[in-house]
Amino acid sequence: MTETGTYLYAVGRHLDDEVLSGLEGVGGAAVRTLGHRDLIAVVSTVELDDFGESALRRNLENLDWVEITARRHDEVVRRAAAITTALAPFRLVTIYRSDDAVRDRIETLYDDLVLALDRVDRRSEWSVKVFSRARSMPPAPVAADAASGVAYLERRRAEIRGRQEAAVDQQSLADQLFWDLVPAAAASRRLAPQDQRLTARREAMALNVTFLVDDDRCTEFFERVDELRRNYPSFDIEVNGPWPPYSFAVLDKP
Amino acid sequence: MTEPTIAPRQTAMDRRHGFVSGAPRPEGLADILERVLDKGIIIAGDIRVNLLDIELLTVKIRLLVVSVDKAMEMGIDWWTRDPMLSGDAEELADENRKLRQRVEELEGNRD
Repeated sequence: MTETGTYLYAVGRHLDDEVLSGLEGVGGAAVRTLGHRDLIAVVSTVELDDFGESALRRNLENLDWVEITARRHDEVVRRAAAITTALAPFRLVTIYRSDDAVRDRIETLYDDLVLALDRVDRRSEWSVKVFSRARSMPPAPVAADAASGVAYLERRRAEIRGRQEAAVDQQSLADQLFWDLVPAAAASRRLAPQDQRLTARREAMALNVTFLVDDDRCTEFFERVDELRRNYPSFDIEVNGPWPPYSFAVLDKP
Repeated sequence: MTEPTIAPRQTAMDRRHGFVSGAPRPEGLADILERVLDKGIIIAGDIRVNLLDIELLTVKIRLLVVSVDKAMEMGIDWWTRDPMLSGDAEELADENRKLRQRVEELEGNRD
């Protein structure tokens, strides 16, 4: 009999077992729920051959394994988030020795969990990514002695300076855009801009933010984004969501 | 079957903007990893794994959310030599085999 553990995806309130039934967890076993006080943990059984300490050290070095596991983990969290906004997602590969160990942990964390759930209840996380539209450089004026080395160097220096200034301008504009959007949300978190090879876009990412927005202020948030699209024509603003509140249902204590 | 106590959450906003809560979507891997690795409740389970210790995660995956330019500034540029990232490994192995065969042929012809 192989040793097993209990993989924890999220903890929340008002989670109905029925809606999660039939859902497959990481490693293939069925997703199920554990109750403790008024909180419900979303879990599944995993084999320690794949999810034990040494197995994880091995598997986490494998990008394919990580991708499959991360997507499945996120899918389970999303399904739970579709049922309730009072949900605290846990980080990938948070595994306990048994169901009882999960309940014990919830008991220990109870007060902080309740605070985290209250913070995100009736709210959703929305990702906002801002891309700088490529701007064409004005053609360099052709001087009489354009062929001379000095003129060429001066022109090159001016081009580089122009690009650097444009980059700085874009960054401070992006910061302005961020502050313009903040009042429409309950909370915000700035993330590192993503690399162009990942975004598969020619334009550079000038801003990568995630916002916690009241569900009943959602319309206002989207209208604000549309307004910013008009006010900041040099940017392309991409909104994605709703995400489960990964970035905001965090514990106050480490 | 008991009725759920809370109706499935799907706001009018979701429908208007075409987002359906809970439906599977092809989210970018970078977006998912950004969240499931670095966010969420980060608390020790019984199975101890320090994600920062794992070289692949520290460099390769965290790299997904850090700019490549910044990494190169820091002297990290292993991906320029990693076939998994700069091309298809199988394709390269195939190409190597063909090149080796060709070299053998050419060396054979010289004799």
